[in-house]
Amino acid sequence: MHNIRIQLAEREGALVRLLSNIERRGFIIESLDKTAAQDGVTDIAARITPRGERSLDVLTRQLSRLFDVMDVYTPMPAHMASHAMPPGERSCRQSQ
Amino acid sequence: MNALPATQPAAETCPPMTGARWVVRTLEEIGVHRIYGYPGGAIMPVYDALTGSKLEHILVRHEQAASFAADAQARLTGKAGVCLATSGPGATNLLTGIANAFLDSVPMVVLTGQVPSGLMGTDAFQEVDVFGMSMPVVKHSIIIRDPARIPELLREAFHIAESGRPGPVLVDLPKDVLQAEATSLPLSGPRQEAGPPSASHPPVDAAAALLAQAKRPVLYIGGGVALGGAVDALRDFMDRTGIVAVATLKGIGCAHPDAENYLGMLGMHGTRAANMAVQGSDLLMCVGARFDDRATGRPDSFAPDARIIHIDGDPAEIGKLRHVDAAIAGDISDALQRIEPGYLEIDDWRGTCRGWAAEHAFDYDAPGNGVYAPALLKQLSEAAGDDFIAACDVGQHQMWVAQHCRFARPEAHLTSAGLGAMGYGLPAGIGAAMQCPDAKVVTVTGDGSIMMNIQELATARRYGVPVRILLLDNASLGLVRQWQEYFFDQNFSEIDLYDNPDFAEVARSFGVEAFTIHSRDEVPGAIERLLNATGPILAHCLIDPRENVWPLVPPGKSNAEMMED
Ligand SMILES: Cc1ncc(C[n+]2csc(CCOP(=O)(O)OP(=O)(O)O)c2C)c(N)n1
Repeated sequence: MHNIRIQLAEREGALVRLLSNIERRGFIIESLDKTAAQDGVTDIAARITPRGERSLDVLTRQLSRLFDVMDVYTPMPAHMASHAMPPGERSCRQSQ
Repeated sequence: MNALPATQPAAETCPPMTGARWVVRTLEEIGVHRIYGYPGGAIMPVYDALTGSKLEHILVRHEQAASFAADAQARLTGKAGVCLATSGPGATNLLTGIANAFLDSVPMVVLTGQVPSGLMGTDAFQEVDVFGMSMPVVKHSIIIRDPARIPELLREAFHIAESGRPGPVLVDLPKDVLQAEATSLPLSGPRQEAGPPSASHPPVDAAAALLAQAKRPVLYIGGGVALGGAVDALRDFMDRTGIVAVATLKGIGCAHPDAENYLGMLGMHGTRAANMAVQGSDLLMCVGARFDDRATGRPDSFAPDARIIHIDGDPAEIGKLRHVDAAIAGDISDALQRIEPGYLEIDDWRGTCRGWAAEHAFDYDAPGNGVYAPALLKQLSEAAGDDFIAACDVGQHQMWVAQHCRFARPEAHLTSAGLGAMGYGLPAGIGAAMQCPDAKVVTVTGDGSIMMNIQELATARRYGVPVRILLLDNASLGLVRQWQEYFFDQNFSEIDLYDNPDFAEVARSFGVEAFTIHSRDEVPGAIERLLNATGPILAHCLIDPRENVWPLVPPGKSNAEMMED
């Protein structure tokens, strides 16, 4: 079970897109919390479990590239951090 | 975040126009020249606004073809292709093309009409939730609810489609929004250029060190190299290091076609040399590829002794399917230029690999007098030279193109790689030939695939598109038949197309020039006639139905276990 927090732009379809991506990439959403939007931004907190061998680090980057997703936070245990991406670009989305 | 506020004051006020006119006007301003589409109820306001506009609209005969043609144009130009359809069935017909663009990272802007906002969600006539249906296969999507925001949001759609890792963006346009009058900020000027995926320069030392230590390194080239504009850097890297290289289906054309150390495609229908090199490597340098199962075979036995360097424009690909020893996420071209291990001391390994390539080179001396498709394709592409562009359908013929044709550049190989969608070939050939009328564009198709979008002969004819169609007719769904032969105990189930129409007659009835060949001695004349054509032409070529694609890695097997004839 992992905790994940996502800062999401409040737009039509953004929540569904985020949740369906989490599921499609092989994670079960165990619990979910959403704040009311402030200045067009909402915070999503979820507890998720991989369905098999899926890496949280990869999921984080897959979510980061969604246009609606502004940031993803995962408290990452030290043993996983060694497999994680080196510092650098995490999102392939360009800011304008 | 990126969006401009809707209420931003207009710098230069425009008289109010309908949403539909804003759509057309914005496309013109962005620099779009050609769109592919098909009209219908909800999108009719846009068709109304199209008359008199500078946009060239190409009327296809099935919306799927609009998406495939726009996709081909985008692959050739790097700019988003645009397709247009009505709500409901028009929109659902586009879905295959959207998925195709998504899986191959093709920039595309898809415009769909939608029922009026007030009726959305009521199961109105021709209402489908295409926004929802397409969500897993788009890079992004929007429903425009306010006509005043059309210029801003359409621009954003193009920017998203073209920047970073490209992909399709769907823009759903409710009919009332298209009909409402709005004053908006014209936001003039051409579209914003999408820069490289990253301006940062991630460290390359770890990769360079691994490379310097390696005894049996192999470069594994994917479609991301072309997407990242890194073809020149890649060719230079190969020259500088002398590394041996293999490519995925989408990586074909990145290495110089005559490069001595290029071993061809890897994977299920890859060359023996390419697969042997990868399996024997101690370092695999994956550039813009994603460890797709068609390339890797059984993943746990893929390149079992290799450490991995992974360079990709999309950070989300790193470590997705294989543990990585050195990762570089960012500008591929920049990374390749900065990795400088010098000329690698790998003479023995290079010699071994080239020995495999020589030993297992394709043999074009097939027995008999029938047309041998691999030889025909090789001769055709060589005769067309650097102007050759192939638009493939899906099946054995697609694999023969990948194995036997010569490609001077990756964009020239148009193939439905990720989705493997039969029906891509003819519309993609049309899109390519409209974009590059002076190139030698050849649609290579099969008797199964051509029927998926054969109605597009009418489009080719109407616009006089110089697309040469090479139809390799084996009177069956050849690739499926091959699998049934080897993996389903020769239980041939529903693959026989013995009652095909006379394809040359069909083409002629559309007004398209056509001819049929049966034997090998007709091949040179056929190639000449195809390449000299100035309008659409179809060569119906009968081939031996028992012909198979070799080599072949059986499904679920390791790439070391290649089958041969
Ligand atoms: C839309 C679609 N339906 C089904 C398939 C499965 N499929 C893959 S290859 C193939 C046979 C293709 O036959 P043909 O176009 O005649 O080419 P050949 O293999 O004979 O060269 C089929 C049915 C597919 N890839 N796409």
